Amino acid sequence: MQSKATASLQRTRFMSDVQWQNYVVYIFFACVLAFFAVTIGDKGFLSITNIFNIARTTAMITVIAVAMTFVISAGELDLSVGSTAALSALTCAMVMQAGYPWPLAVLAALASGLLVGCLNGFFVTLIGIPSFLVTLGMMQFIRGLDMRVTYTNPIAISNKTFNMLFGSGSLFGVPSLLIWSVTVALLGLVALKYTGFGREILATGGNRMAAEYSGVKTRRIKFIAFLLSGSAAALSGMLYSGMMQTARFNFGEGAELMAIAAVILGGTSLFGGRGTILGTFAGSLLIGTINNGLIIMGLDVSEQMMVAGGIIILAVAFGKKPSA
Amino acid sequence: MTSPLILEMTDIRKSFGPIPVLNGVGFALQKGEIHALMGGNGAGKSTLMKILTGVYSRDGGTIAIDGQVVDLNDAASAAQAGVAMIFQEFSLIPTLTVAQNIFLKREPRIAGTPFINGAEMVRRAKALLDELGVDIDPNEQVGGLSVGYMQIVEIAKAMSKKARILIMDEPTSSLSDTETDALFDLVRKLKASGISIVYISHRMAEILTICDRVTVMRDGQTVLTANCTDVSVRNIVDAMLGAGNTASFEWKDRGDRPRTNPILTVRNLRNTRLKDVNFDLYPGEIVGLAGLMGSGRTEVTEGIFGNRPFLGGEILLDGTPVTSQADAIRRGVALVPEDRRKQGLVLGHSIHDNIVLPNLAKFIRGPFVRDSEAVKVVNATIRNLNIKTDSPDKLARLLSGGNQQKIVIGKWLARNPRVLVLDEPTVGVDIGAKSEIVDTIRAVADRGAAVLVVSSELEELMAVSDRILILFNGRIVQEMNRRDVASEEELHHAIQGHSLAPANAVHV
Repeated sequence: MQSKATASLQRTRFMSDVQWQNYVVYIFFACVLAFFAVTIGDKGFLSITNIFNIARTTAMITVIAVAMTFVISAGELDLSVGSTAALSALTCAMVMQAGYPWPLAVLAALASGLLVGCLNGFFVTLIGIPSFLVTLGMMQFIRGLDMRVTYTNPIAISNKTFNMLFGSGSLFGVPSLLIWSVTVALLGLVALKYTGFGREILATGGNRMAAEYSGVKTRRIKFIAFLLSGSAAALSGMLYSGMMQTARFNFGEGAELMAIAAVILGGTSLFGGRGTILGTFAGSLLIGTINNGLIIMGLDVSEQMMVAGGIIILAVAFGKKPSA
Repeated sequence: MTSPLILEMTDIRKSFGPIPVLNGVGFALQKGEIHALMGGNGAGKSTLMKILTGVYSRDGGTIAIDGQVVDLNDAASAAQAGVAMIFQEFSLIPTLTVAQNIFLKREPRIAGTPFINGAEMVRRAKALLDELGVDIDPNEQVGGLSVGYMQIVEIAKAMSKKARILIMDEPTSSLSDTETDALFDLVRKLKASGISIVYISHRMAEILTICDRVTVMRDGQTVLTANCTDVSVRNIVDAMLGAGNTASFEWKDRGDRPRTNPILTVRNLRNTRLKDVNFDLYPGEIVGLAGLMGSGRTEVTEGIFGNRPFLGGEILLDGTPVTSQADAIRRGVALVPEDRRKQGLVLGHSIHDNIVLPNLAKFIRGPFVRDSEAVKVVNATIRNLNIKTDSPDKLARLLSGGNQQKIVIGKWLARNPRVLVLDEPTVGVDIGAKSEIVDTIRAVADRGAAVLVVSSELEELMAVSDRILILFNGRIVQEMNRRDVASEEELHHAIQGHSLAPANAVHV
């Protein structure tokens, strides 16, 4: 937690105290941008269209990753977000298909995300099963459910307002997907850094017992983190379907791992207690930029995956503190 | 004593950055002696020992072992020279057996093959443990052993590496009385066989019992080396504190408090361990709670704090029952828990964040935490409790035990508690910080709060308490006015005097 406590006490800072590891995601981001600008700058990498393209394709991951930052900072993990995104997208599409107005569909989608968050929270905080296992099972279960209810068929979404709002539209030239992801990131940043809830999340993840002994209701805090994660997954699912103007059972496949990678790349501790939304946002953009650049360079999907995976490991390795 | 020197460290110097930590320290260890090394936090004893074990390299000075000048630039060469450290936090692997731990990475092989000779390993471990005169099954899993036995396994491991100089850091801090006695027997046996021991401890009585000589360090220098028979506790404490001011360890008669309107009333409290506990705490008094290990001390403190469910009875604050932990905290109950690292602090967070945590509600405006307001409280806490740090943003993990404990106390004092409960407040705390903590406890009581101190160090209870409650087997069996307790022995007697089945009760 980086509270900006302006101290009246004397502060001595040596060069060695400045922990550049905290900024590794930004350094990597700058390097990757510079590399692509030089190599493929003339192939349209630097065009506004492409920059917006990166922002749009990363929006779903960013939204999930922001909530994931809360979950991980509280010392837990949520693997169910990808399939929950698809569940919400399908819920939303089916409600609209049945003829109900789109706001109702949005509420239904959010409700489905909250329901999953509730179940995760229940099993983790009240039954006491490790979140890795609970959400792993939930991931499978929900993906199966997604397939079962649609027989793997896509459901088209024809509502223009919904599509504009959640994916394909733009405001003053800024794509709505970018607006969504920036809004969610800002809300997350403020909540984690400047609210009591944020402090309690970090304390819970830093040392649950000490937090408990300081009067923090750590179960409730973790439960809320899972609710946040579920609703973020629901929003992400609507963003997928708004962008594709359809809902499919396979939306968000692998999104949970991308989101976790973005969170850890950003500098949040995988073991809890330390989290940064700004880092998460940069981490998500970094992953998106790498993928985008590699596509423009003409790499095959298989090659893209190898390069992106390698860069993620490298970045995390550089960000590791020597003492940790 | 004129035994030859096994170790002679001369003019050892070490700086971290611009800060000198050791300014020409001399330390000599005779063959077959137990030598106490004492000093407050920051005195430099752990730095000195880390140089001896090859963890740090020194900036200047010489080290001679058996008269030979040695380098000790890494852990391997220190082990080669016969130096072994018994760690405070044990370095054993709980899921392996005793024998596997002792011979970890040095397992005997079946001749000519890469395969481990398990039977031989167990046989050698058994021989080693027999030699030490301890009855531990080499096939037992270390995780199932008591802390005392783990320490013995650790010593056996060192002996198997042919160690001649053993460094023991606070070896008794988590041992019961019987375990301590067993350890002392073992230490004396080691001494008789010619092993030299550097014994680091904050416990005076213990040092005068077991050690031959004592060296005291202060501010990176050796300030006293003497035979234990020639010095008193007072001499040692004076040497450690320097100024010669040890007043806080003397009991002050704070007078009697009016026995009306108790702040806290514990009535017929029962839980898994407590059978029927009754007592009152009055404003402005310091009450000591003494008892054997397992008598239910922690159950009492956590019962008051509301984080341990009870089966019967009630806790009243100003006459109305406490309903939950949140209720207790809101109404001014504060608990400084037994294990500051596990229960007291978020070690990876800053001093600032740790102090703010239980006070969040105070600094929240709308949805936001106002750190600018918190800073004032944090700085005042750091100043008032004399927490030694260069910045409130320093991580709690990086501070010494005494300063960490001050944070735990400070974070609750920031709430102006009406009832302050401290469970073992000075365990692992150096003497300087200890006396400051005692002063703080008195100041809190002077302000009108009721303070309950739970401690297994009778010296401490004797120093701070106005009244002492004796807890035995889940009941308060005796209440003593401190004025009527003549000596530590008397208190010791009281704790055990009611012992119905002394064989089961382990005294701490």
